[in-house]
Order: sequence, then structure tokens, then C-alpha cells
Amino acid sequence: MKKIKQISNFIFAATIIFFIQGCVKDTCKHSYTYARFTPVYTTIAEVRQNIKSSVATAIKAPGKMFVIGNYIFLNEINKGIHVINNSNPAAPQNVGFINIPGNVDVAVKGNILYADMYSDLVALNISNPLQVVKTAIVDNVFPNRSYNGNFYNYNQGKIITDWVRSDTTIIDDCTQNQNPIWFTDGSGIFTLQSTLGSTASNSFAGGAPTGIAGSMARFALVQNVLYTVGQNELKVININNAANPIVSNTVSLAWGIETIYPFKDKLFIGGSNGMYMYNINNLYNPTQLGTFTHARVCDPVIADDDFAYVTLRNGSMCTGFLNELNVVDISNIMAPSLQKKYDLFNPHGLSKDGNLLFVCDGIDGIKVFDATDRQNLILKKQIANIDSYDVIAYNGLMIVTAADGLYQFNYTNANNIIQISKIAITQ
Amino acid sequence: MAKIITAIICALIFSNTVQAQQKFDKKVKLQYVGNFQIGVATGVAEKNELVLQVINSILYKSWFVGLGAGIDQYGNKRSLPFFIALQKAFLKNNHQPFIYSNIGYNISWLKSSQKVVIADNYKELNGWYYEVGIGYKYVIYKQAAVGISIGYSLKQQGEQYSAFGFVPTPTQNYSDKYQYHFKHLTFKINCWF
Repeated sequence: MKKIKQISNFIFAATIIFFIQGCVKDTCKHSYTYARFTPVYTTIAEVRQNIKSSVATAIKAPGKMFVIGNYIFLNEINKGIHVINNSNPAAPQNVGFINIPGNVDVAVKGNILYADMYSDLVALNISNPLQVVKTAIVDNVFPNRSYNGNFYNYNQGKIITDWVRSDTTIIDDCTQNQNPIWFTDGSGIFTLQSTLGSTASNSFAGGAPTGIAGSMARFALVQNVLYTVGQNELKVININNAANPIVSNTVSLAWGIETIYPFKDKLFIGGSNGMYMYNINNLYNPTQLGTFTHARVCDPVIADDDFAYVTLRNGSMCTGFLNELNVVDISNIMAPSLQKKYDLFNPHGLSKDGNLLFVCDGIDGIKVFDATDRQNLILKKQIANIDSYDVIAYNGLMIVTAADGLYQFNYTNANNIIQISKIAITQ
Repeated sequence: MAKIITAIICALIFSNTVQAQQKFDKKVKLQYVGNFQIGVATGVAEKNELVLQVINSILYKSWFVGLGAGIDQYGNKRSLPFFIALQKAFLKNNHQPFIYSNIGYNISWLKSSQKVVIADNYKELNGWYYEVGIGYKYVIYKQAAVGISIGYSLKQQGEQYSAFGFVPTPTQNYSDKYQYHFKHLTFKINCWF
């Protein structure tokens, strides 16, 4: 009797399992939360009237930076420029703010600061950095300035000066599609090509740019020319009269241009599909040299005499699947060749001083390599726990913009790199 | 993380082997029994996937109660379930039908190729795991036995990431969250020792 009961229990359990089979299914719930920003418009006349110095404000969303003399000009994304007195790198002082709505890039030559203001270029006299004077505004220098893929345009004489944030969450069923959704080209296959053009000259007699920009910059200064890159074009801006810049040439580029880096008689332009090299022996008429093509990713670039250093990264905007540093031999400028690639986490900006190569590797921190042998970069130091974005390294001082502030390090002794200061952002 | 998980699984397997040898001849009511399971998980996903589980349990009369760990690739989302296991055997001869139930925590352990995105602020999400089923085992000698089982299993896991751009795109702040519920069948070969 007991045996029969046990068997009946087992059959009962088996029956339950049998019916459970009908419940075999997989579900995927996708919740997408985004911050929706509604633009606040101000008249263009009012905006231009308000381009002026003000008291120092807290750093909230640091962007690109430009270092000149004892000052760091640090972009506050879409708001303006922080003026930081860096006479003592161990105790930098945030001393002022230049209100420039829609600003993301900055460059300084002498006493003139150049900045973008949405699609316009603004020139400011910064003889007194705390009391800047507007000298010129050049209209529509950056016609393809965009927000998240939507092109910015003047709206009936008004300009966007602020955004009102509201968070929205959308929930949908992703059961039928759990595949990667952001990346469209992850081949990782590199192709090398060269375009026709004049051979690079070694007799460049130009002066060095004034001040130092980071590798994420879209502005580059060479002698009396300001080069700027937009989504698909290179603007050549004559600054012989520094206070009154004049656009003298526009060169069409491939789509997806991100950065520009000048070195001697060349411009190295980083785009989402490759690195483009231009000869600027004739400053006002850049001519294309070689092209180093790679899979679609974001890629800041710097260079020295014979090598270019390109960081490739993926991410929400950058697409692709690569996160690496490429060392590219540019000794033959018409036929650049990949020398070696190094896997990294999510590299952004980079800088080089002597044989030291500094790379901002996203949340993996800052990595300092001994680049004496390009075929065998040696990691000398990793400064972790900093979500780093861009770096400028010169004369033993490393300035880093990061998600949580502006850092400075002393690398006079490369074996003992020490943090000397930080200006934290305010949420 | 991977090393820690591997070490835990190895420790479970090792302890099984050693302790099983020690316990074979003991005439006590509470006895240690190790249970190794290998099989396939099948459901509506494109592929059937390998399932491995190790359970360390105590036998009391016809009940097995223990702790287990495994690896589950079902749904092209690798995970490691850690669970409490309960088995009830019927009959006392060499042929023993049994039912079982596992409940615990499912730790997501995705390969790069299984991730929905590779982003800065990415993290995997863990969830519940449970499985109920029936089986049959043939007792070879004392606790040493082999058998088969079929079960119904749920594992939950997810992925989340957020993006913040330094570029001037104010609508760029966002976060994405994927929550998976995999309800599937498992067919396993069992080994008790």
C-alpha cells in the first residue's frame, strides 16, 4: 500500500512537470531611461550681449581644455569657459568664467581666445582674463553643429541657451531581439590606403602653435592660421589680424570628423572611419596626404616625427567594437602602416612628452607608457579610479579632465607620478 | 571574478570526491552524498546549451538536502546558479524515482560576445534561479548511483548601462536595462557518489 502511494506521488509530480512544459518561454524586458531636454531660447542679440566675464562658477560638466602660460581654459560643455589660474599647479584657482552658450572648443593665441558658440566663431581679447572683451563674431563657421544627430539651427533669430531636463522611461518587449543594437560595423579589419597628393616636405619653417590643446580638440593653431574641423569639413581661418578672424578656405572631408592635431607641417585629423593627414606647407591650402582607415569607432590622434598614435574606442556614440591604441608608422606619409596595436579598455584622449605616452583609458584610469620602443610599449604606471577624458602633458605636469574634475599630476620622476591637485566638479 | 567562481566550483567538486570516499562506509543516519549533473537546457532559444551542476547534500532517510552550484549557458547568456537543493527519492530498492527542487541565486557571467553592448558604465544584473523536476536513478552500491532527470527551470539575469557624453549632446544622458527571464527545460545525466 505504501509503495502504491509513493508511486502515485511520483506520477503526480511527473504530471505537474508535464504541464509545466507549456510554460517554456523566454522573455526580455527592456527599459530605456533617458533625460529629455527642452530647449530654452534666447535672442541672438541678447546672447551676444552676454558674452562676457563673470565670477567663477562651479565646474559641472568639464569638456575640452587649452593651456597657455599660467592659465587653463576649461570648457564647461555648452555653457562657456572656466578660467583657472594655474600659477601653482598644486593649488589651481578657479578665478572666473566666460559665458559663451553653446561652447565646446577653445584655442588661444597671444591675447586672443577663439571659441565656438553653436555655429559661430567668437574672438575675445583676454589681456585681462577676468575681464574679456569681444572683438569679433564670425557667423556660421560650423554649419553642421549638431545635438545628438539633430542639426542645430537658429530658430527665427533665437539661440538655445539652456535646457530644461525631464526624465522619461520607456519599457518595451525585447524578447524577439536581444542582439547588440548599437554597433553596425565591428569587423576590426584594417585597411591601409593612400590618396594622391603632394609629397610632404621636411622643410617646414612655421612656428609652433601658441599654447597647448588636448587631443580631443577641434581647433588647431599653426602660425597665423586657426584650423577648425566640423562634421565633414576643415575651415582655414586667417588670424593675421588676430582680433578679426576671417575664413579663407574650406576643405571638404569625409563625414564623422572628430579631432585635429597639428604637428610641424602636417595636420592629423581623426574621424570615425580613419585618420587623415594633410600637408600645410601652404598654410591656407591644406592638401591631403595619406589616409589610415580603420573600422568605425572614435579615434583621437597625436603624432611625432615618424609615428602617429591613434586611440580607437567604442561606446554609445562611437559604435564599433574596438578599444585599442594603434601605433602607425607615418615615415612614408603616403603609405601609413600599422606598426602595432595594444588592447585598452576604452581609450579617449592622449598626449606624449618625450618617450612617455599618456592615455586616458576611460574608467580604467590614466595609463602612462614608456614609448621608447614603439613595438613594445611598456606600461609604467596606471592611475586607476579616474574616469579620464583628455590629457595634456608637458614639462613634467600632466593635466587631466575627468568625469569628476580636473586633475594635475607631477611626472618629473616618471617612476613616481604623484597627484598634486584636483578641482572637483559640483553636481 | 572568474577566478573566484572557478575556485568555488573546483572546491565543490573536490570536496565531493574526498568526502564521498570518507562517507561510503559510515553507518550513520546522516550521510554525505555528492551529486554531479551534466545535460542540456532546451527551450525556445535558438540553441540547446550545456548545463553542469554539482551538489553537496546530506541524506536523511529518503531526503537529500544540499548546496549546489552550476553553469548555465541557456539563452546565449552565461550564468552561474548557486542554490539550495532538495531531492526526495521514492522506493528503497535499486530503482528509485525521485523529485527534486533547486532554488537560489543566478549570477550573470557573460562572455563579451553575449553582452548587448560594450560601454563605460556597464554592469551585469543577477536574479533568481529555481528548478523543479523528476528523475530516475539506479543505485549501484550504497549511495553510488546513476540516473537521469528532467526539470523545468527559470533563471533571471540582466544587463544595464548608462552613457554620458562629453560631447555637446544634451539628450545623451540615458540608461538602458535589459531583464531576461529564461524558462526552459533541462535534461540531465546524474551521478551520485
